[in-house]
Amino acid sequence: MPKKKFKTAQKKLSQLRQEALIDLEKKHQPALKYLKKKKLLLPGLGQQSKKLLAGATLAGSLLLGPLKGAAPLLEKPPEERLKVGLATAEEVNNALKEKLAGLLPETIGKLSEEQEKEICQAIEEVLGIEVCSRLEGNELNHAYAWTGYEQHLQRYPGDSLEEHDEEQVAGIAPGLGAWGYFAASKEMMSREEYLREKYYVAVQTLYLPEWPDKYQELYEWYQYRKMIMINPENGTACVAVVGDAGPAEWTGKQFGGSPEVMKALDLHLEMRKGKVLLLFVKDPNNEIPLGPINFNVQKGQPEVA
Amino acid sequence: MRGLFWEEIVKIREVTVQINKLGVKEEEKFKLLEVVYQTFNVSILDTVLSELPEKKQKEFLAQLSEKPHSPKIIESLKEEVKDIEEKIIQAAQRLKEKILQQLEDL
Repeated sequence: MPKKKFKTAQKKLSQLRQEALIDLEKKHQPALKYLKKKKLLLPGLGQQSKKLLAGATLAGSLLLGPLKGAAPLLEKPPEERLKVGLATAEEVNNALKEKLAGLLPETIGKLSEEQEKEICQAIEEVLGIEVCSRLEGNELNHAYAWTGYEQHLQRYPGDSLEEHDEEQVAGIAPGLGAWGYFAASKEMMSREEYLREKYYVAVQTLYLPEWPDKYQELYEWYQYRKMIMINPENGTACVAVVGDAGPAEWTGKQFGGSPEVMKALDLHLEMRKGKVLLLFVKDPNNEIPLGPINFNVQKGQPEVA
Repeated sequence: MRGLFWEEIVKIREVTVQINKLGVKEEEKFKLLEVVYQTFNVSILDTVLSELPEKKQKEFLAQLSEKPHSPKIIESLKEEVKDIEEKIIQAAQRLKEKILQQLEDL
């Protein structure tokens, strides 16, 4: 299926490029003739072009010539590609793992200001996501702690395990999550609501020192709050929302991850737990997608030239 | 390495995110991004040429061919065309929307 997707995407994008070239040639004949006359090539447009533009439009032959000395994207070393958001998933994970090594606290708990600064900077450099352990005056009791493997949550009245498309082995919690159903009904469930259950974390709001005095305000503030959970052992990361409260103190764990979150962090087998970082994601415009994140969302531009 | 002259003002992050979400292989992702990048390049070139008189077009093309990464290119354009940055951004935005629509429909 992904192969078919690639082919379709390539076809559609190539069509757009072809249209852009035709437009350019229609509108700017004198400029393009000037380029040809002067034997000028404009760089930055890759090397595969002539074949693609077998129609040999004037624009195509002038604009898509190889750039002297430019390394094709895939030949650049990982550190170069990482800078422009073109590293492989494995390279991104490794980079995050390496950057976080040595920055983590010795014990679970909150991060000091210095730790927060260094850790958040490392995450931002690799993933392009701004994160923090303190946001709008709120802070969890732990930023680095144990997470456990949670069950699926009921998304709407009548939801069942069979309706969940992944990790059915996790089972489904008999009760509702702390914020109730994610959607009013199956028919009304939006993609965003679907993703919220798929990628949720549980946090111990009940043990916050300010909870007794400000529970109403905190309950609202934490609902679907976007966070990132990172497994520093392997550099995997998953963006999720707060979708449940817990786990209980006696479990010895401080966070919970939905089955899909735990799978994304490779913590879904054997002990089904691990020490992770859990930080707030600064995303006021809701642009960071939920789910595993193994690319840099800020530096998405390939530098061909 | 520096990007081309327009990369400081045009960001294609949403496109990259959408391509990443397709779940295709890394090499395939790069191939798609290369096509995207080429299309932005052509489209922005079209926008700039459409705003410049013929004589200035030649200067621009010579400059672009010589030093495609130079920030001076955009500075020179700003002297010649009012709101050129805004025009480039708008053209890129239109293209970005087209590309995103194509990718979202997959």
